[in-house]
Amino acid sequence: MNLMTAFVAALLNSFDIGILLFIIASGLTIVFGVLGILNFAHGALYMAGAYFLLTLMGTVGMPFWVGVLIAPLGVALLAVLIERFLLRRIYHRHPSFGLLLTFALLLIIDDAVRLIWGSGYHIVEPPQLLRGAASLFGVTYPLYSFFTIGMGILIGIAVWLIFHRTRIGKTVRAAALDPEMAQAVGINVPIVLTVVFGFGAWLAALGGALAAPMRTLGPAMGDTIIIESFIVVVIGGLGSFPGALFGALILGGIHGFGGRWLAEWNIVLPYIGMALVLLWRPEGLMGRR
Amino acid sequence: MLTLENVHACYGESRVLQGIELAIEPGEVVCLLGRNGVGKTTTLRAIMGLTPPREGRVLFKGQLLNGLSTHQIARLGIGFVDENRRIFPGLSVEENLEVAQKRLPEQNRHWPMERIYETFPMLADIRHRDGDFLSGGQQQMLAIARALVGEPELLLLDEPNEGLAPVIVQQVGQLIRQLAQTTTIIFTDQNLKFALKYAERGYVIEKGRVVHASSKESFHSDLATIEQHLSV
Repeated sequence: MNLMTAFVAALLNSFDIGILLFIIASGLTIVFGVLGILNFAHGALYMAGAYFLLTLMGTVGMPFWVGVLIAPLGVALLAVLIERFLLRRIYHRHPSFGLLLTFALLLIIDDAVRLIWGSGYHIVEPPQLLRGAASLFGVTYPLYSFFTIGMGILIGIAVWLIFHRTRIGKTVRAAALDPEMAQAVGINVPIVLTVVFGFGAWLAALGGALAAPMRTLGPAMGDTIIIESFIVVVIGGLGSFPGALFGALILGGIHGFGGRWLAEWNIVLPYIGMALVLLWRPEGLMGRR
Repeated sequence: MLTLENVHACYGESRVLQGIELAIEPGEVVCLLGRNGVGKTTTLRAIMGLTPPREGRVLFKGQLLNGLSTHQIARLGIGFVDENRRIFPGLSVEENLEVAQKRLPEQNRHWPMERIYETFPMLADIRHRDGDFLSGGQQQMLAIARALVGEPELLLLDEPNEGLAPVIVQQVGQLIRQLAQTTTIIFTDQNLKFALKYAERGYVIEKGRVVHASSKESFHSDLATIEQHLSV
């Protein structure tokens, strides 16, 4: 393999990992930006998205395309209940309550997955249409990965448009910037928080459902992703949506290129990157001071 | 229009309002006067439910506001302009107005965007500017405009002149006069001169209580008493 094809392969790997991380981390960062809650259970919701899809395709017998639409909605509904009955009680308390509560949720969801689906591993088959591989600049790459990269870009554009071009998105931004003043101009902030938490969970679960055909489903699959998502939002800036994109692409690049040329360093590189960003710009690359 | 009966409110342990009594009639322009920290701001915040009353009742057009959340009170027709204006910083001027617009069919609006920009020409020129980059006067005009697009029948202005240049203070005064033709207005102030010029009557607040209430007839003749309260 010459240098050019190696480079293209590394680039594709970077996007493959980075775009998926972007979908998941954008949910995490939006929830933090609006609710002020750093959601430890975000990875568990990602996992729930994958397992919901597994059951919808296996037990219920839905085709992949229907399942991938419905599974994230199911998780979002669960998240709405979590916000309405648990999170809402702790907004006015010390931030540590949010960490404790979402950490408890992570443990509960993890064990619920073990109870329902067992501790074994599962596989979700990609849809017929996306099996096999395609070639780009002489590099053969799974067709399904091109699909997730495309989906991630579409989702990113859609989320940006929602926040900047629709009234509901602008309302969410106002409520995040100054919840008290938002209430005083007639914005129903509690509903905004519920919707945003549900939306953040939807993004996590969509990431999980899209990742399912590429990764093995197991009860620990949420743990690695939450750590990576935290690194992404720390690098990009907590609460910043463009920051999530930058952070995810940087981390994807570290995995894609580091995995090829610095394989023995690959495990520590993300942490070194995060430490450097924290030293240089503690608020993250795109964070507000 | 608005009645406060024996309203008490607290910040933490300190009881800031200790039995405020107000009775505002439709169409009035009323000023709440008093020195710093006597409870003028808290009175407005208690009306909005931002600092909910611990005791007493707040009635708006006969409806009890106690227990309602702030956005419900705003939607009933009370507009609030905070003393710090609190423009949403990442949103443009137009977006600040858009998020506050009452959901109504366009033909039922008293304050459609065109009328806002006619009334506030200085906002029309900067409609795409970020809320972070406004002068004090622009912020104040935007804060008032943002309250108006909520279609209020009652407008609460907290210290509308604080920190503004004299030219802008005059503009705010003229605006109050213009809005008073269709809207009931309560504003707070420490400056008697402005209050006498633009309000029809006033209440003096001291230590969380109304210590003096002027009628329309007596407002200008009560000067000595009011000044005494404000200077002590």
